[in-house]
Amino acid sequence: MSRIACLFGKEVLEARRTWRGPTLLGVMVFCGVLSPLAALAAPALVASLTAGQPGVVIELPDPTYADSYAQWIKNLSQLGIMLVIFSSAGLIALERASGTAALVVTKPVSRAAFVVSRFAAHASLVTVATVTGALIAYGGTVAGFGQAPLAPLAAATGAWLIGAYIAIAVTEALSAVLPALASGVVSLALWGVAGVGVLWRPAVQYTPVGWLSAPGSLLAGEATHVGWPFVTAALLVVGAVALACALFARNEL
Amino acid sequence: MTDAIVLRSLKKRYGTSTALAGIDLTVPRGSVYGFLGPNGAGKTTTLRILNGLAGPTSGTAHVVGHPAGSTAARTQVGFLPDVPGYYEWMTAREFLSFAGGLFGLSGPALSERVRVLLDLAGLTGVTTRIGGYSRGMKQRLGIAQALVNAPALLMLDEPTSALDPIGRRDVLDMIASLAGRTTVFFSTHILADVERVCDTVAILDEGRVVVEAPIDELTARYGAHRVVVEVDRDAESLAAALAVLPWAAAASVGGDGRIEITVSDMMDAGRDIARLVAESGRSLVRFEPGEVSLEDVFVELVGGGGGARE
Repeated sequence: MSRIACLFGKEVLEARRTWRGPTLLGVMVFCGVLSPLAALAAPALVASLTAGQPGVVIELPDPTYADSYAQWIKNLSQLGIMLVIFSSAGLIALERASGTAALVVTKPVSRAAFVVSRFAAHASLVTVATVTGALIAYGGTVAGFGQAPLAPLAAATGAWLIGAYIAIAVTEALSAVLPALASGVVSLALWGVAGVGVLWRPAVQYTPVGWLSAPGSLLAGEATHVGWPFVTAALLVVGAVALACALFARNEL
Repeated sequence: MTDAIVLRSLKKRYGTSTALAGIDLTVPRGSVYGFLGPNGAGKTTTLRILNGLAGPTSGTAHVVGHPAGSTAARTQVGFLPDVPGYYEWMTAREFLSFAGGLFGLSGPALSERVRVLLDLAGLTGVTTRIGGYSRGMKQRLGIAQALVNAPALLMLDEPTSALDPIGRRDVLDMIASLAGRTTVFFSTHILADVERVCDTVAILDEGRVVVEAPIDELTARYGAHRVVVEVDRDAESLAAALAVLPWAAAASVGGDGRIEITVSDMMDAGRDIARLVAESGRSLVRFEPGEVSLEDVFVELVGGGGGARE
């Protein structure tokens, strides 16, 4: 068994045994179930809000699969990204604080391998949980609306996942020097700042900020820039993980 | 054969605080080596440097012939930190398998190693997760994981400090059972632990090694014998008279009136003590010869001084 495989195996076991795996999977499944239900219930909800108010008439068109998909992406962009960031906040910080990092890095594995395996395992966990949620959302949409193409949902979910990988990498780099809670808060603040960047077109066209708006525009069938945002996102993920390795290498444990 | 540990002019500073002020130390292979010192003397800092968890400010540290913290060194070393961190959601078997996997062990060899170590640690058949273990169980597991690679050098940082008497005895028995099979280097501030299992000792104080020698040689060097004398009256003036004699390394009067004398020549001491007691008209109540303990040496060398940052 290679040392990297050993580290990765431990991460898989950790995801199953601790709160991270069940919580990520549970929230994604919840979002997947909720999305088509919320889309179906939206007209009735609006009607109930305006009932009994004379002169107020709001009529919504009949919901479609697109509304269900939009609800799914909205859930991911709010609850999902917060969960991803805060579940990544302890990737290194908690291992440092608990002393487990010291026990691992005194074995003949490099600190870089420790950092990379943690990133890879958590990104894999987020991917599995998100794809599971997306498939449930798809099934619920087909059941609720009769017909639903898979491609827009897959494209939008994939675009969101790229943003999630960026969030994991940046949060892990912060986790190499900050306590877990601080890593999460700072990362969430950075995510908020990036959200403002969506208003500036060149940022959307050329930088990783494009992945914040890409899920919505892919769902809507709008022209979406993916080339440069993909290249710059890949560079950012690799750079952030490399930074995490460099910072962790300097840590005195 | 290469020495297990070689430290030369090893210094470590944290800002303006000096943790290690230039340590020179040689640990021969095959020894059970006690690294003794009061809290804050620099023991943990030294062990962290030896295991690559911290870097020295200056000086060199070599472990089994390789630079401390290098992959080659870590391959041959087993280490138990002072406060070991465990994945508490693992069982002992899973934890040992994980530790072995990090050394590249796998398959039947790993399974057999894990079985033997679980037995050594008294954890065979324990299926609960580590989070539910007592301190003693965790400490025994910590030693077991440090042995998973059959290390040439086992380093233990204060392995008994947080244990109750039974847990302490178990851990010391484990260490004693390793004598002759691997080099053991362990830090402690508990003198009795060193006397029980170590053959060689270094005493560290305020970031410096104040003495390094086999325990027998050390107690001989700092006075081969100790005599306890009790008289019927005026012990202070007798102690003062004895202290100036050539064979008396030190003499002090305890709270209960007993005079404790460290002597270099027991024959001369016996003759002179009897003579002085008789000449002064006192009655000799007690004359008890004994060996100087490591504690006596430790107190003599370290005294009650404060320490640098650990």
